[in-house]
Amino acid sequence: MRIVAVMNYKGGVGKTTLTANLGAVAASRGLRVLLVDLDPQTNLTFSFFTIDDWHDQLKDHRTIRQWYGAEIPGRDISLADLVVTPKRVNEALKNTTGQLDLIASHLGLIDIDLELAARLGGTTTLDGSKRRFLDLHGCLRHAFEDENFSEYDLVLIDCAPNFGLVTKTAIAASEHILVPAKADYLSTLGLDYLVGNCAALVQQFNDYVNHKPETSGHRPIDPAFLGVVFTMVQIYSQQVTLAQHTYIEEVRQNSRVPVLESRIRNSPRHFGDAGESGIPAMLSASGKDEVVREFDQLADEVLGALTLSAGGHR
Amino acid sequence: MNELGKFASLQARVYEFLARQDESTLQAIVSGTVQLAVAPADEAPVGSRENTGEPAPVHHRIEPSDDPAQAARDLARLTSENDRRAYVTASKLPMGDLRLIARLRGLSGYSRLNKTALVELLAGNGAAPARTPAAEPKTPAPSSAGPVKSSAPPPLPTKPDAAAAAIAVRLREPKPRKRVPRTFVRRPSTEITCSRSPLSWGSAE
Ligand SMILES: Nc1ncnc2c1ncn2[C@@H]1O[C@H](COP(=O)(O)OP(=O)(O)O)[C@@H](O)[C@H]1O
Ligand SMILES: [Mg+2]
Repeated sequence: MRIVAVMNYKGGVGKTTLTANLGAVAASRGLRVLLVDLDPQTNLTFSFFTIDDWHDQLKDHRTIRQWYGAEIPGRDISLADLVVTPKRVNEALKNTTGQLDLIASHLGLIDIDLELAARLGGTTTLDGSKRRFLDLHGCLRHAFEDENFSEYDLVLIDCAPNFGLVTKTAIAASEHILVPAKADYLSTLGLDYLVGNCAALVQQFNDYVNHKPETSGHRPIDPAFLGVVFTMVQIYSQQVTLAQHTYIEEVRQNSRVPVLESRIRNSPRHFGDAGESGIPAMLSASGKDEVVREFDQLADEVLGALTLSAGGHR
Repeated sequence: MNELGKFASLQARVYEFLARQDESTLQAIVSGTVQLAVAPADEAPVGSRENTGEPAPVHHRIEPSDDPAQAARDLARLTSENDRRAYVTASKLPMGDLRLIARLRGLSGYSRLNKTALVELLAGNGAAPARTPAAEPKTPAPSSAGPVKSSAPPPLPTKPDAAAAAIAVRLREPKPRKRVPRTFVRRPSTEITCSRSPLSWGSAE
């Protein structure tokens, strides 16, 4: 099982679109994929469920909000209990050996994030607060150690566009971080900041673990940046526009995050409206147009880097 | 008189229906492995074969549902351990759903089980009481403004999804994927913990 956090501080850069479609393409290649929606905006969840279905089937009992809502996340309910199998997309995948499962999100996660952060301060001793830091930040990682998750080849976590505690639990749980970004000034400026904050989290977590390795109950974390994937790239006559090319090159040369070869062009035709709801555009698109090929290439590159090939590692 | 007349014609219809069933169907109705359902006259319901007069097919095997609440109800109706095991296995539900079914069935000790053990638990406990329907997420209080819904169990939504099916046909060919060379390898953690840029605040205080 490979766990990848899809994150960027900026909203609207294509995180959710990328998570849903990359997951779907991987599943169509026979991998067992779990998508985790950690964004209270719930866009990933609603890529697979109608609002009515979410309301009737998920809202009260089966969203990640319940899980994070416990005193220590996961104490009241097991993460595996929240996994659902969205119907339509799996219907579309039925002739493959792949599967696409989801852990849904909830608007209320936004409050939980704040409550969680408040809990960090609840203890009086230094050891106690370090311990709590590790337990809270390591909670998602710990939950994925449940053997039920070992049946998945790939877990993609769609993070909220912030660096709140819930996002940090995703970083701590992930071996890899994938950063969708637009090729514009603000998006590229934020990248090093993102790297710095991740590095700080890693360092603090590992310092606390190493302080008392035998009693902390945690192991050091070491998430690696898979890289930046540029999305919504403007292409004119087969070329990236000059302005965007400049930003991409700037990141490639000066950022500490590697830049993936693959990029996804701006295509309102594929991603503009809801499309075939419940089935990501890259599965419902008929034929192999450029965008489908770009996602295919992205899947090659990402799955290759994760050493996951078709058919999966079971 | 009027009420009596209705009752009499109701009885007549029930007898008419039962008279058309063969012995094994009647047995199955008595033992509860098949259920009588009400359907509008224009849909041919299970067990009514007005035109052919042939006996209705016996549905000893209930079609596995992928709705955990429905599956929990179905399991309660299956009388043999083998039937329940077959049902759970055929449903191909993920672990989370199986656990939810266990919860709806009022079972305990399911959360630490692996899949095989969980299937056995569900197969072995047909007699356990299902949780009351009130505990299920799918029963919102009916709003007074809304249309009156029949209190009969909702039909399973098995409407074929043409679009999904069409995509499924296309996705059938498992294209042999070329193995992709590893483009990026894990970078050592020092790579991201070094603080080169003033924007990255390097250490935990
Ligand atoms: N490659 C693309 N081309 C055109 N529109 C896109 C593309 N990727 C995403 N979008 C659209 O941009 C908006 C933001 O994308 P989304 O994936 O929700 O971003 P995020 O999760 O980072 O907030 C959505 O309306 C989405 O449909
Ligand atoms: Mg999003």
